[in-house]
Amino acid sequence: MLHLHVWGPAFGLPSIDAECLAIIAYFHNVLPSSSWRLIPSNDPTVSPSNLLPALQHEDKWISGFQPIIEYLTSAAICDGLDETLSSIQRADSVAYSAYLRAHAGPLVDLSLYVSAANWAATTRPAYSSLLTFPLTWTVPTLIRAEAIKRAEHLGLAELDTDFDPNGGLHLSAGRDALPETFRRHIPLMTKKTVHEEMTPEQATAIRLFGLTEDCLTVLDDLMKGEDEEHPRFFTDAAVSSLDCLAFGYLALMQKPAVPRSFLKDWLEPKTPRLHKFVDSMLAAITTRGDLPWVTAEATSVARFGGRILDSVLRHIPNLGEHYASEMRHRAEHQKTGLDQRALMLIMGVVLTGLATGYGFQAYRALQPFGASTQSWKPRRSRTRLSEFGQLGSMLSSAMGPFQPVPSGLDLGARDQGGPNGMLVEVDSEVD
Amino acid sequence: MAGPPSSRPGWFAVPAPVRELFKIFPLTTLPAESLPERAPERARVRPSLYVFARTLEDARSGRPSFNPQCLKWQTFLRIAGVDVHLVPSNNHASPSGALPFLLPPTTSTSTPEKQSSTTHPTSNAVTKPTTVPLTGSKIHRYAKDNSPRETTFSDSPPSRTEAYEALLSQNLRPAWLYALYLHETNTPLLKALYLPPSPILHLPSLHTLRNAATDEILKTTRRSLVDPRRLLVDATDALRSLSALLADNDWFFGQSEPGLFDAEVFAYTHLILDEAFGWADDYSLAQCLVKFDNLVEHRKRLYERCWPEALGEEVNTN
Repeated sequence: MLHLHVWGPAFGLPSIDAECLAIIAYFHNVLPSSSWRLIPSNDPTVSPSNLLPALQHEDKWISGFQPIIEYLTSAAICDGLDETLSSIQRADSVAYSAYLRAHAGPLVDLSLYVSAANWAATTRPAYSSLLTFPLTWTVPTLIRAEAIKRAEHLGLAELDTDFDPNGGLHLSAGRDALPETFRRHIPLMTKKTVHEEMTPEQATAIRLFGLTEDCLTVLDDLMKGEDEEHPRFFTDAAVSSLDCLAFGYLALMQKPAVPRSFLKDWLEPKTPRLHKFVDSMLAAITTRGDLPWVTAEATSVARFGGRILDSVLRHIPNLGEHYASEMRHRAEHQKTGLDQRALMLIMGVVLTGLATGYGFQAYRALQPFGASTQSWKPRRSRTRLSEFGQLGSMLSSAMGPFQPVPSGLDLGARDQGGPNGMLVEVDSEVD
Repeated sequence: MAGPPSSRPGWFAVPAPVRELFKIFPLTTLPAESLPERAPERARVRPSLYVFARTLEDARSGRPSFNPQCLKWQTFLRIAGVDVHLVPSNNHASPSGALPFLLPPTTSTSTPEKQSSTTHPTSNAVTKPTTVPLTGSKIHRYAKDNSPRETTFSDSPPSRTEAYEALLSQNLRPAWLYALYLHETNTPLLKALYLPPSPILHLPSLHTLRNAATDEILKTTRRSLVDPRRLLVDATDALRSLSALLADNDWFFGQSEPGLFDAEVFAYTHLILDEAFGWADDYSLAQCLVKFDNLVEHRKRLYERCWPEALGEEVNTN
């Protein structure tokens, strides 16, 4: 029995992740639904390589779209979908798969993760319905941070309105420094310029549409099928692995109901064939019978707690990055338990913590500027009235000697020199 | 303030003795220092291409750069027959932060008046210092505009080219990055190529380079771990596809002349197969590549075409 672990369903699609969608479509086309199980585990750490989709077959774990397909054919579980393709078609299939990952992937990231409006309205709620309570606070933001990093090279960071190129709030930035959602609730002081009036998606519309056009026309050019109702990339094959992968990415462009739908706005009118392709692929999945969903096994409390702790640690600024890279190092070298490196690190962290704690305590114990050895002279006390010039002096002499309320600062000094107050009173009259 | 000139010195006139004193200066005028030897020439006759190069000598004789990006453009300029002057450099020199970049010659603007400017460099009286550095596709356009070859570059089918370019950047490049930057046994090679000679700077630079390479690999492969074996499998897939695409043709996409995509593939295959490069044996991209005879042949063909002067050397050394 094959167990396929994936991210769970969202937006009316079987999965929220492109490669998971692709592998589900692939499995559904090659295998009868009795021979595999689909598990929405929503936890990449189930597999040793920390990636979903992950296939569990007997004791083996394989992660990722391409490796799983290779495993299926090499373990002779089923025939691959690409068997009937010619060698040049296979080459095209590999090349266009790379193209999808390189260009369609960042576009999906832009639309679902980077764009703050879409993230808040659509993607984050979708993740919230997949994850259980405390994880909904920590895990989605980590996923989003990764997606932002992947789409960084497109230079469209302004879609993410929390992104501030100058770092930190600055008074001169004014309303621009605030996240878009806050901005709406602040009363309008000045007249808005056209640029301010636009959403970030509108302001960068030309670049966004340029990117989308580049990406989708390349895909559309390959899809020169005669079959108008069920367009596929390679005509003589029913469904190829490239079809599955393209379905994964294109469905995420088309199906989610995002408020700023720049991808869908392009996909529907300009490349109707791709639009039809997604619909027909989706229809093919549903007509072939239900997907063999199985509810994920309940995770143990320790494991759940561990996952929460892990995601919280990753959020710590600075330290989180080191933690993440250390965990990656351990996973890459397949280390479990304590070894010398981990011990050294733990020792290092403990020692640094102790040193910092001691330093902090020592600092707290320091007397402020060595109070015991320092002496003050009593402040020249004068009545408050004498501060008001001549009239004040006259008034103060008329009202007689007046002891001002000692302030907290010179309380100690006043104890010894009580009569000094009187003496200074005379001084003030001399002034 | 400035009144009509009169014989009587005004209030603001400098007193005569002070004026005399100031007239003495400057006491002497020293002759201008000559610029350092490696400074860019004031008047460039040839365009300069700034690339990574092992030694100054390598750059002078125009040998292939060790960086795939640089080698790609270097090869393309050679294919186009544009004679460039190579300048060994590093990323800090580049306005865009990455090599290579091209400085066009001072006498010719990159406008289509190529015949007059290349044949009579002095005839252009107005020597405008066109020092806007060109990168990426601008080098491409410059090479096309200034190519002395009569044959126009026939463009390969754009969408397929883009897909196969993605194949290089998506499947082959991560394996290259891993092999060069992250693989332990290649550390001496990395030190020789990219790290500063000072031992104090070694460790931090190495650390930075490795982190950047790891980030890049993770970002490109969309995975959470760096899996060397997987990268090698992906690279082999890419090479197999390229081999199938090339088939029995001389150049990619069945063109009669090599183009930019040939240069791009060559940039990787040449460096992977270069025996003098200094690769360690235990993570070998070369072993994946030699299986595909037509790619090896393609590399040899393009090398002989673009570096005809190197042929004699190789015969001699062999």
